[in-house]
Amino acid sequence: MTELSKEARALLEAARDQYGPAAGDKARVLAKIKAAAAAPAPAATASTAATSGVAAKLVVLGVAALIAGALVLRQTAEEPAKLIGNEAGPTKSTPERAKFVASESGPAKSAPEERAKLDPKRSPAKSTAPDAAKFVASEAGPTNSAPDSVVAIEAEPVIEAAPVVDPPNELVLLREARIALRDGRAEEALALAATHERTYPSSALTEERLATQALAACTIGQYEQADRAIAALVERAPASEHLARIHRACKNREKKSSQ
Amino acid sequence: MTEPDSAGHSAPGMWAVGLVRSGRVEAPLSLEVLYDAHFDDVWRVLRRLGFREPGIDDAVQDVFLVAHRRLPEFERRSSTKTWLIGIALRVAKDHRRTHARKSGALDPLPDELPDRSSSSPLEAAEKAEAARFLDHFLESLDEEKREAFVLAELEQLTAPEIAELVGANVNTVYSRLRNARERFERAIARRRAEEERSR
Repeated sequence: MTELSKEARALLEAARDQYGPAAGDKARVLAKIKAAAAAPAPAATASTAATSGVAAKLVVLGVAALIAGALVLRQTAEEPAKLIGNEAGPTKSTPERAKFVASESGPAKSAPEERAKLDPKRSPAKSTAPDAAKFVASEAGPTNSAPDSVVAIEAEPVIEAAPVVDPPNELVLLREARIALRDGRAEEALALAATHERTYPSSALTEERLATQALAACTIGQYEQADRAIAALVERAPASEHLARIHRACKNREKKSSQ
Repeated sequence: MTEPDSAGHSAPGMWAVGLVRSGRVEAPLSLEVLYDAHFDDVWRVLRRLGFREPGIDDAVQDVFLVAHRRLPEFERRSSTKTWLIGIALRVAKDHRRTHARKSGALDPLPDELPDRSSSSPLEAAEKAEAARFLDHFLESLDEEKREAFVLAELEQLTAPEIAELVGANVNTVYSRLRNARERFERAIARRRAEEERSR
């Protein structure tokens, strides 16, 4: 079999580390898993398995999953940490994940479709979670209903929540900036944010841009620039949920650099 | 998490639903243990299979939810990591088909900033460039070759292991891998030629 050259191996080795999760990813996804694992599998799950035409054995497995799912209760996405070893505490439904898990006992390939079909949150008219709406409004802007996003909370469409933005370029710019920031390419994040600032000086997503700029500037030790972005953010959105995060992240960074 | 009893078994609970052999001792295998040990592996595999923010969160989540359900069925014929990679492959296929990697929302801002102190800016730039090149290359492969290349070259799985995971003949896997490697070498050669031209 053809073996890779030294050059190819070196390149693979250099790229290897770049695929890892960023700090915070592990805890964030764990919180989602706990919330989803704690959600009950509703009756619709069994019927889903049955009507999907799978073999009787798989239906039995689906029922078993339903029973297992019924043993655990719901949990909010906001309070996932309580769920370790705790099977109580229902506050907010995350049924789509439970359905997905239960439907995995049937043919694996049918699970996401079934989950999508059964997910009531996919309908814009049925958005009833104000916290999720707030999240989407602040994170995505109004034009991103993301109807096919797997995360229900991010798929919550909140079209009425914010002023007009210019999609998709504006979002693409900020999204790329955040990806660059997460991947440690802070200079690139700053450059992209600066492009956004020039191109969309009065954007509805200015708060998001300023937060990205502040964090990126902290990453490379440009604290004056970070301060300017933070000041602008405070002026524009004094109650911004990003401020606490920025404060925490920049403070940690400042500590590290002074050690 | 529940404590194991005198026989070394955990009471059935949300996070402790199976056993794994660790040497001669049977240690409880829970979702927490799995997650802690293999979150990075699963994330990387899905990332290499083409997942980006924000969808990768959901794919990782689904992998561990499926693993959670299937822990009691896990026969340990393969390593836990290989088993999870197998689940990740199926989840990736499902997500690709149903969601086609669409995204609309901005990624959430990171809670912590990436620590770049461990490498020089030049080194970091080189690694980032290598990753971009590899991303671009992987995107150019069809799904089957991409899986074979990622699992063999980045996850260090053997061809028989890959064959079992993807449900293909070993010779087919060898063929896909050979083809993907040749393409990779050609892509590197093109890149080198472009760099030389631009000097």
